[in-house]
Amino acid sequence: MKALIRAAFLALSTVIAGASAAQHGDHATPDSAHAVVATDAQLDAEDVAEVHATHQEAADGHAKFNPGEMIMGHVGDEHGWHLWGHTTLPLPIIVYNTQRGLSTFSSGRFDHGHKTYGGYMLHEGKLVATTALDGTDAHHASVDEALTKATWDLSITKNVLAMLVSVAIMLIVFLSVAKHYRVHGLGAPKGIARFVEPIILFVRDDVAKANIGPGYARFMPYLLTVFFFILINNLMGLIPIFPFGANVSGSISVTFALAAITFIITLINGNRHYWGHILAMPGVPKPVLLILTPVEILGVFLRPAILMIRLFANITAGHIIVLSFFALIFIFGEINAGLGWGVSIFSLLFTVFMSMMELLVAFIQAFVFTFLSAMYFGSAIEGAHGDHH
Amino acid sequence: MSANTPRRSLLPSGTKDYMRYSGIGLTMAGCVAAFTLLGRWLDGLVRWKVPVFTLVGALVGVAGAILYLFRATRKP
Repeated sequence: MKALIRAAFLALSTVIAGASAAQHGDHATPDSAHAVVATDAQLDAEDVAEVHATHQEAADGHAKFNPGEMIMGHVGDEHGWHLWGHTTLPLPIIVYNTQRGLSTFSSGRFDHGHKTYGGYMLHEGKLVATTALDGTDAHHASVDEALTKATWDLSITKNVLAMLVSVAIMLIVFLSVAKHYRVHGLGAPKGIARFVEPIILFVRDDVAKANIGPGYARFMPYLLTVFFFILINNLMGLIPIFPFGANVSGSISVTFALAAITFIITLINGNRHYWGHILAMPGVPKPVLLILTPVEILGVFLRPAILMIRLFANITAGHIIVLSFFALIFIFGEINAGLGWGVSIFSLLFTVFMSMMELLVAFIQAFVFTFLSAMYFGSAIEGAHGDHH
Repeated sequence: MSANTPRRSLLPSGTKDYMRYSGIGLTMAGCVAAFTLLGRWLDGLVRWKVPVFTLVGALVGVAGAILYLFRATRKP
């Protein structure tokens, strides 16, 4: 079994190395060719939509497939939710500019990033300010750097919408579970409570009690919330159909916010014993403290930083690997259609294998985040009950 | 499962230690990196011929990391 896993990973890394090399290989040509196609099309354009269609086809079609762009587009956030083909669900743009004030409109106004609207446009997926008139071709409008710096993009993006969906799912599940216990008491659970109860008990006994000890109950609401939030978002990220498939837990902003909450709770709950150990560890000579105290203070910030990066990297890496397998089909398909079909069989098998791994990772990462948070809380209130070990 | 029988943990016995030591390792790495970068930054300010602060920073970082390891793994 071990040998099998090792072989699989070896094959995997070779494949990824190949994919990235291929991506670097044709990196030089597409950009320049892209520009030529765009300007040519612009010159004799009558219908803007048609230009986009040909433009898009040229970009997606033969010798133009850019795996890096495709993968990063899928793991990143976007204004508007791409459903299939040229169909995109427009999402609200909420933007605040210190000079222009607040403006709200639909992301459909940007026409997939090809047009400007209300003094804004999309540039490489980011919302930027421009002084060009509404409806100008965004590829020719110039970015107003000073105004862009004064712009706060508070839009409901794909990730925000996906997060709201996950919150709705959590509310439905846990309100029904809570109602079940209110009505039926603490007997044998039924329905969805039967599925959720063992997980809640697992978080309580193996995570909270094991790491925090007495006084664990105070942290249970946060630990359970963060566990299920990460778990549900991880699982939602594995389902490629709307309204799932956004890379929420693989977005560094989301993991940053989660780690920041853990960090703040740890600081608030830190007792005299905790701070004493950080600022002046007892039983350590003064000159040694000179080095040790900065290291300990550094550690306080480093721990949530690691928490943030661990979740982000694990989830994003999984998504990139799966997308790389799909990209391989098209990379080989560009060389020869038959080759593409042949590779697709192996790509599919590896994708299934990786999806299994990702299912595992979805649970493990939710658990690891919760477990480490509980450990930090435990260290913050340690010694308060005289159970210093 | 009744409330009185202690529930057997689902986790392997070393999970907590594993998490703790991996955290210590990362803190050590961060410690060396942080002191070295601090030294680099100071060297960028003073622009001496020899990057004294980077060298000192790296050494202090390593010393701090080892001290931290001793302190973090000590059982009172």
